[in-house]
Amino acid sequence: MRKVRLGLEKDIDEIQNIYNHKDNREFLGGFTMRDPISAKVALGSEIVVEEDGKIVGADQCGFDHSHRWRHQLVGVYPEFKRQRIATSMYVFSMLKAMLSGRFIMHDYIVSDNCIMPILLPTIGYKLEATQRSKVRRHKDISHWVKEMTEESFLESLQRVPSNYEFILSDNDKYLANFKKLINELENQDLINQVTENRKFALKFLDIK
Amino acid sequence: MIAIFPLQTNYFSDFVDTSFIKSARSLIKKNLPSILTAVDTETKEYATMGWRSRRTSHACEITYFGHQRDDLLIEVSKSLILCSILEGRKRIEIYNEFEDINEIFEKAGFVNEGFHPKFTKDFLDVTVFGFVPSIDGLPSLGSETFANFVISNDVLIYRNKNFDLYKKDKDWDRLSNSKLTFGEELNREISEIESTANINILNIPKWSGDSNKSDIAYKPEDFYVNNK
Repeated sequence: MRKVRLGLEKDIDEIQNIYNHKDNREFLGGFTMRDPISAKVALGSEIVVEEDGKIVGADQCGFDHSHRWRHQLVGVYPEFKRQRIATSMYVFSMLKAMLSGRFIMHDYIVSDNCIMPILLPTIGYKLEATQRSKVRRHKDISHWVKEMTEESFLESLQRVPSNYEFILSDNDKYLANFKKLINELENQDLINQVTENRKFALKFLDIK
Repeated sequence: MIAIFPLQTNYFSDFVDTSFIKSARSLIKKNLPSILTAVDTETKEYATMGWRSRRTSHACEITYFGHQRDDLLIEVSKSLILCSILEGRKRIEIYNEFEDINEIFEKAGFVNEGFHPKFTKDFLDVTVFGFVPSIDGLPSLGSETFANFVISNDVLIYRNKNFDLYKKDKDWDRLSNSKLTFGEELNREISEIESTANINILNIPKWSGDSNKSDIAYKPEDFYVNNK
């Protein structure tokens, strides 16, 4: 069983090893320092996949507007590729996006990346723009966007094999905020005014 | 004749649409030219655009501050491209949320590179336009247009910094279609702009958008005649 969960302090070295693996670093804009990873871990925005205690994939997330979720660095060890590890991390981050009320998923891909343009359409991302020569080294950047609805999330979820387990820990900031928001809305009898996305997250978490 | 010139604080509000005054005011006081306007010297109609972001030194984002005639907007957006090249930049982009002026940017030579769905806080789609001089060539201004660009110390700092950055890249040695390296191509573009007949380069080391801090504070009328 593979566990998809948030990265912890003890995982930072292994996450850095994944990003800086010789097969991954060219796609991720070069060497990744330790500090940005530990900052993301502290924020609860670093998603990892664990197999038998070993971290095999990592996904760094963030957001650029109140309604947009953004992926930053996504990496998997080469020997574990083609096993839907990245797919599971993307789907996990969709769940986190829903908890925070965000519904536009956004990813930047540098033009010479040969893997992501194949992976992203399978989980509902569409190529919306290609900015020519955007990177300093004259490479293009393409923007992949997914507008998240209940249907599109469930479609992506079907791509995740059954041997993956999503773990939303109680100390997850997003989950805590979500629960707090729902409690407050319930106390004020305003639960019907919660956004569609959050309504779905509520339903989905109840199912789980 | 159409006169193009950088705005300074002493008169900028005359050439900016009232709904953009606030955002223009936050940009105008920089030491780099931040807002350019194209004015028809007879009718006094204007079109104004400026640099919204220079966060990455090799690229910049320009934005719209109002226009009264389409041909003026075309001329001023071309001028912003030329002015950005003088700073050593290799990509100029616009994120445009106003559908009615998309066509004007395409006429000015910008390439429609796609769009960001529901990008703004009001969930409007934003069209991305980009211009890369090494691919798209240099835009040429109209024969009736006369442009004034400022080269200050700050502009030169950016230009040198960018050339240093490009030197570090392995693509510095990449040959273009005309068999020039990237750096040579950029140098050629800069010297071509400087030698163009209807472009006047003002070398003012301590120019500032804040007219109180600038070495020279211009009035709009100073640019209504061909100064070259």
